[in-house]
Amino acid sequence: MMYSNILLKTLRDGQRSTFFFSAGQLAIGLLLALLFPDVASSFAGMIEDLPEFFQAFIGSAAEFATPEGFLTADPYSAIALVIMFAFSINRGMGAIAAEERNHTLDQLLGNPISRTDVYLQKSLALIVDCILPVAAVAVGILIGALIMDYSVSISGLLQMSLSLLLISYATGFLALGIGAATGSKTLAMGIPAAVAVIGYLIHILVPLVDTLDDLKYISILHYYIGDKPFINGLTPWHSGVLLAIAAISFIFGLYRFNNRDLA
Amino acid sequence: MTTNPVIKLENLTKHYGDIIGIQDLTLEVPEGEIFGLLGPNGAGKTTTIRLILDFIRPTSGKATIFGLSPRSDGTDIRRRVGYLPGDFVTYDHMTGATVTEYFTNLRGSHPSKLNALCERYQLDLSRKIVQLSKGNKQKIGLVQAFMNDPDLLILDEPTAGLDPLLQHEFQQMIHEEKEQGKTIFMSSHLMSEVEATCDRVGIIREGELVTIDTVSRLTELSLWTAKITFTHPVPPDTFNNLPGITITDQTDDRTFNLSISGEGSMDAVIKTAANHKVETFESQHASLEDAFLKYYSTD
Repeated sequence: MMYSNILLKTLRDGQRSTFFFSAGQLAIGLLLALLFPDVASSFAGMIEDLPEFFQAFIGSAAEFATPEGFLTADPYSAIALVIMFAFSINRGMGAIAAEERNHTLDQLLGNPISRTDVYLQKSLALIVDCILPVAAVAVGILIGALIMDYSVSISGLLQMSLSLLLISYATGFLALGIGAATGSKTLAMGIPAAVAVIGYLIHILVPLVDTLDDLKYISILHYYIGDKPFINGLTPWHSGVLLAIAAISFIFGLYRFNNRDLA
Repeated sequence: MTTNPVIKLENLTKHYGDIIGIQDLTLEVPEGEIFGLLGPNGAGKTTTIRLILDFIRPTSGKATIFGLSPRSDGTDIRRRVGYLPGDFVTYDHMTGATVTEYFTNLRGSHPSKLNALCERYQLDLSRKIVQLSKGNKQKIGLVQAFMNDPDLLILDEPTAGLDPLLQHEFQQMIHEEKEQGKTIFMSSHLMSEVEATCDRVGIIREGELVTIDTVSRLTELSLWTAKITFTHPVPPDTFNNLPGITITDQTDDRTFNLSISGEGSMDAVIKTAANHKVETFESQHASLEDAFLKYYSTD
């Protein structure tokens, strides 16, 4: 059953690591939600004493005092995001480039199946794969909030989760598309990782330096969390940018994969 | 040659930048034939196979398989093809059973020969691929290529890693496939393998097809070799004026190793040698290996 087609096999191959990534994400969400009542109040006090530009960087004291503001800073701006970068880029890279470099792609395509079909099923697997670890963060937060007896905006959490899913798709499909277009694992991993790291650096530097403000638009994180979807809801065009990155990467990868020599 | 060959290559050319993969390869393989592409590593054998299967695209020229284009009708072609890649590797974390199950599902056809093949090769499908020796991995490769009873088998270095007994088993299996009317296109750098299995062989050198003919004709091209030792020194040009006679080695002024090919005749060699006192005379029929080396030693 699990080897009925490429989609199911790909999901099956990744299920153990998806499980561990998701368990980790759940633990992170849970831990931070449990810590919120104690940590947030002391953090808020600390933040009030910080210079204004630092507050701009990590969020205002008032924001930090709410679960949505606190959880936006961590895990959603930090560890859960980094984990999703690692997860999605790894999966995207593994879809075509790793199969090609491991010399199993020839064997796969020796069957009556088209390159497009392989690509579509691998893409679908990436879409499905990212859902569980993203949802796990939210579930962890909900459990933590329940235990500590405070409420979290469900709508905000859903929109934050959707935004995390979209940025995961953006970096994942960037890796998948580049891997399919070039057959290079190095490029498939390196370019999206660079986009994520540079985006992250810009995202943390822009609030500190006024003159860099316009640079925020070239940071992928701006479209993920720039308008703080946990607190303010999703900004449609920001989500659109993330979707567009994923879609363009997908189309570019499909076109090149269908028109190049396989290694 | 039949009017509808299973494989038809017309001036098929593949360049990788300045490097020639294959150049103007033209050949036809009719239904029911075992065709061997013979050449050393890097000669262009795998490139040819990968062009046939549309893994790479030709720089120029054309390939048709079952009258179809590999580019536009790839899935229809591959539905009828069993393929063994060179240096066969598969998913290490899977077992032989799950690998064959996976490829069966992708093919959407019943693996009618699976059990018989496993029995024949004494293959344990329950073990993970990573635990298998190179030879056993190659068996998995052969089983997955043959198990769906395809019309055309494309095998890239099929016996790599197999011990002599299994190589013999493979040769028998190839002949059984032929008896069932299957077409086989295989590459090899092993002359003995091609000689034992193929109806026709193409010798490929630096991407170009040097010659193509039946195995028997190719061996006839280099009909005989002879080693003559005289009791006393003879002039080095003794055999020079005989057509089709090549001195392949002259260890000293008494011993000559000759190759008799094309228009050369053994009669002329014996009569010329008889002008001197012969100590020993050995001759044997040339093998495909001799033919192969002849083509490779010619600049």
